[in-house]
Amino acid sequence: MKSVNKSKLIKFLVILAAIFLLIFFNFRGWLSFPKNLTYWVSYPFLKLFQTVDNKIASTWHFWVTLKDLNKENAELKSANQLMWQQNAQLKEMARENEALRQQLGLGQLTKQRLIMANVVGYSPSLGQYFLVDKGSNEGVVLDSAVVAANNFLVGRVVEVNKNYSKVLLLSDSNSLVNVVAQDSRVSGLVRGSHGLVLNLEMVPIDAALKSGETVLTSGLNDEIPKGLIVGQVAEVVKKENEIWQQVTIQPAVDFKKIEQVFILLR
Amino acid sequence: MRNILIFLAVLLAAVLQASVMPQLALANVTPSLVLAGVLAWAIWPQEQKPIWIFLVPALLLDLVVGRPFGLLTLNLMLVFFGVDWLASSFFKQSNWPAIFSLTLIGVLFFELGNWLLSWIFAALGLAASLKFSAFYFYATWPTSLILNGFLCLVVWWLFNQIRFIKSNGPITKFK
Repeated sequence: MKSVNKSKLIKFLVILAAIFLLIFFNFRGWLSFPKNLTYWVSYPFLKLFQTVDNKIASTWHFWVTLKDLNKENAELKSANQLMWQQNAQLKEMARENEALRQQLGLGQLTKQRLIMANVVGYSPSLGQYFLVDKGSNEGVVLDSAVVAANNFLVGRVVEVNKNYSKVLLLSDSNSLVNVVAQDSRVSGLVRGSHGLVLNLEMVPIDAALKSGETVLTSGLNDEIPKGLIVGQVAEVVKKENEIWQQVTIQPAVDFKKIEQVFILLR
Repeated sequence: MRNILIFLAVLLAAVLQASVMPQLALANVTPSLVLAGVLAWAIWPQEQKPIWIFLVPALLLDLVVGRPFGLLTLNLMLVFFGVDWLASSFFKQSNWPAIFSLTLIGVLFFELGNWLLSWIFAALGLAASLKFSAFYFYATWPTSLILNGFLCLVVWWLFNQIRFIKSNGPITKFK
């Protein structure tokens, strides 16, 4: 065994010291300029690769699903008919609700302000994050909720820079969101599991949760408004001698296929 | 000129890592081009290796998409120096068993570093504490070993091919 090379050891210690210094600078918030500069330089390349990647993925997906198109078309037509009917009913109910609110003097519901952002990058290490091209310049603030089209919750903003922000996805193990099941009104906490599935925690063993039920945000998290769609109950496992059920949620969105998101402004 | 080209190639790898590579994830493990490059460079049989070639892109990647900032760069540098020391002290880097072993050790070292450093960062208040389930150890680590190990061997082979073209013969003779 050779002895440790002195010059290598010095190089190692210098690099280590430099990294620790940078971590300290970042902790004090002194790295925002280099961060914004690096993002500004790399943005065109990130955008280019993201666009090419999306084009390839969509073409590939088209060819892979080509054989099932007829079946899928029939299913979608049937779902469309059903939604048409539900939409008509809901419109009537909304009108009725509006009239009742006026009569009771409750005022109009406030409309949520939101901005569209493009997904331009992903985290390379632990955790489920992605990068969006809107930052504090556009009014994004920490903990803003991020949704995909149709009010499907994607995650929340965990870091804001001048021109870009980092979004923590629902599928991350650190993400905790208060939710409620739409039909049974059972409430719980949704937590990601290494980016694979969503688990619904804190659901008592006697709660009557049904498979296929839609799960919505309950609004108990300050930053995430009520009524955003999280997903559907995929599996419910009840074990004897346990106080909580094991519930798996199928997310409403495929996090890997998201190209654009909306950030809810406050 | 040669160093600039290498630097640009590694920079490209960093951008690809932040944009395209997550789409190739398997069981939620993203193959890491930067890790593969750093590991292959650490295993490469050469006494003096300029580390800045990988340090700067890792830092840039960390600046833009890393969270918590510094964890990736710190981990990659620990992997580089650790594997480089192992390679020069205990292994003969010109045979496949040694290269396979060092690759596996390097990827394991990286995953272990990720886990330990995230605890340390959380303890220091630099990041939120991560919740690691058993799945992380029995599924994530083996998948990472396969994906990143394979990628590292590909990068190592590429280095060898470049050297082969430049010197009209491979520097290493496999036994």
